[in-house]
Amino acid sequence: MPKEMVAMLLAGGKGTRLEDLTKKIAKPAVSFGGKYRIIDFPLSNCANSRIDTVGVLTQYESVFLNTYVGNGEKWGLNGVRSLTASLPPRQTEEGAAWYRGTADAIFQNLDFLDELDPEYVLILSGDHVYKMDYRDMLEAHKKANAELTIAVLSVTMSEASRFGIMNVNPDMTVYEFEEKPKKPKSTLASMGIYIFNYKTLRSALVADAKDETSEHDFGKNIIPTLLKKGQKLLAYQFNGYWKDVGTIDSLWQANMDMLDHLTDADVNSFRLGPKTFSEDTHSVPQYVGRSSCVRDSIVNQGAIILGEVHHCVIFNEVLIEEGAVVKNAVIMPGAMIGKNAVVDRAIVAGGTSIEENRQVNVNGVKIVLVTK
Amino acid sequence: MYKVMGLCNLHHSPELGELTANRPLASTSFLGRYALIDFTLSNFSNSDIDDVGILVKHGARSILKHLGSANVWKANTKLGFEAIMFNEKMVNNPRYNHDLNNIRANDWVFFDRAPDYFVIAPVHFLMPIDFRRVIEEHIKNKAELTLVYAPVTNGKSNFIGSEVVTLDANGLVSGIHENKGTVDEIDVSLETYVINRATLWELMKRAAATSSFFGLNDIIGYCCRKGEKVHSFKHEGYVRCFDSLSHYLAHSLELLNYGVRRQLFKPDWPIYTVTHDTPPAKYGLTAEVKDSFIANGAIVNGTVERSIISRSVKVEEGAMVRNSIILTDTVIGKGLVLDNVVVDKYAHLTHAQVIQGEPDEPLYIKQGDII
Repeated sequence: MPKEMVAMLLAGGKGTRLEDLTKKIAKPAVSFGGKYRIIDFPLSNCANSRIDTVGVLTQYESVFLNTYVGNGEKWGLNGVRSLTASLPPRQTEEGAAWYRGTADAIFQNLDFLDELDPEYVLILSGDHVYKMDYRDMLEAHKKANAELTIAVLSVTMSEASRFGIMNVNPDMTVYEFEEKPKKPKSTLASMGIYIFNYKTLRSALVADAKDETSEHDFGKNIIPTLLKKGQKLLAYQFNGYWKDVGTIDSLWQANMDMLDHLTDADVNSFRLGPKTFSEDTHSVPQYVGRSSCVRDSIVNQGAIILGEVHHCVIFNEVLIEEGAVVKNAVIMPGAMIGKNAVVDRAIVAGGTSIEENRQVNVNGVKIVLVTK
Repeated sequence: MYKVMGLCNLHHSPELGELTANRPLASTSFLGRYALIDFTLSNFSNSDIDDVGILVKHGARSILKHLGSANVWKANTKLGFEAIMFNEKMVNNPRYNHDLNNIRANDWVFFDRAPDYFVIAPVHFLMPIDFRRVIEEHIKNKAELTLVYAPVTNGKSNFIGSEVVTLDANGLVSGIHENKGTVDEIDVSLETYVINRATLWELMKRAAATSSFFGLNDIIGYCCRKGEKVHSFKHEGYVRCFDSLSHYLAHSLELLNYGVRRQLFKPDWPIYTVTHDTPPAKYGLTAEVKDSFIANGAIVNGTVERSIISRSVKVEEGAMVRNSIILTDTVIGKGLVLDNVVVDKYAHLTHAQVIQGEPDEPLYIKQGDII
């Protein structure tokens, strides 16, 4: 049975700017929000948008990610008519090559898409935290009779020069795309979420693959080429919470956003409405001790808190010993904060032990990543 | 290599008053994220028993809702097998709705699953137990029937109404009688058995010939009285009997103590349960939590002391919860003070007042009640 729309999730990047957090795992596998990995967000969005077929393109440290994605069961993407496939680079009759860019990754899997024969292909990235119903975007795409629809987010003028910016007509059709413009003409930033008519995508990728000067990138090559050819590109505006968690600072900030009382991003974006699915860790319930104080924080099952926790995101199996004080921090799975240790404005990587009495970033201004 | 089928026996589950009025003990919430049956099913799973039958006495709806496909307890989801065993004909006839009649009504398991041994275990005795060790000893003894018991030292206050076993010098069960609470040091039967397939078949036939009301415990007691060989296996370590609301509260809160908790939750003995994919618990600016379990999805802005807050419960600012168990999706509003209370699911407590029970007589707030 041909599929109306299948999703292709780009999850091959290392995320170099996440420093040692991505030493052994790819960026989409990085922990977020007390219990999730970043890739849980797009995959849960697919499930909640009733997309039943997802290809996950992996490359950097692909084994862990392939295993984590598995058959899609964690997100319910393993039902009848469902298919979840990890697609790392492979050897074929033509030879073997790494994915040379986002567009090349899809190009190398055109046979996978041909087999499914979808009407539309949804291109996603495994780097972003957000909740979105892709069905609404598809609706807009169909209604406008577009060849490509790009999800955009309104950012501030000062932020705009860090993003790919869409310059649009009043009917939201795109007339120009500028990658990280010095003087932005608009504040509509691309979220890296695309819906293509498969026929359009296919021919664009085939042409791009032949172009030796191309970087084989959606933003840098495919979108500008389609614009140049006069194809109809639509911008679809998204109004919810969305964050690229590509750096230690932005990963920390996005975690802290979950504690923000003004925007209430955590409640409005993630606690209400469809659930975000993830792996179940079979942890025991979280325990808060007799002399502890936990405030303004989110804490996952399996954690044991005997010390003080203020404004923190605490993952499963974290142990915070008596007398320890942890503030403004993200403590990833299985980390241990020893007695009377103090941690401030930090991300403590999974499994790290902070020994007794150690002071981490006390009065620090910058956010630090602690891995040992 | 031998083949084992586990039977989770819900026929002898005690009632915990109104808490179990609409659900069996097996699917009653525990520690904010489990159902009691999770522990028996995890004992099977961790003991490499992947073939499981659940002997449901009543309340199948609630059991089925909790189990789903039961895949979370299976090592291999193809080879693993679970059967809901239910005696539909007898459900409204309590004297006949006993475990042996249930097994009779589902006797296809003898042929279809054809295990060498059945392991039969209830849910109201909470314990981590490796059934492989029981089976090994059963085989070593060339036994046909092995009963698991535990030596306990609080028989005057706990295990009332449970069976007490007496053992002879060879470790064979020489007598079984009811615990009337007169002695503290007793060997209590955990109603957990390893039985050869042919022996169970034989016991079913003999029970029917003796009395139509005879369940498994009855016929085993009868065998003992007749001087037939019933072997014993001593379970050492943590075991608690869930036989009243006050014991439910006490056994739950006792696990807040790390030393006790470590006896039930062992690193090599995971307890599996179904996930509800709720987000982590959220503690507000005014949260004051001490010595408590907080489940995922909970939002706490009030004071919680020595209590268990289940999934997706809201404790609002200015509320105070002490020595209590608050079940799933309940709202505890501002100004409420709860002490020694068990609040059932979906209750909505908003009117400021003090609701106070006693440790040996906790107050119970009904499912969905609005106060």
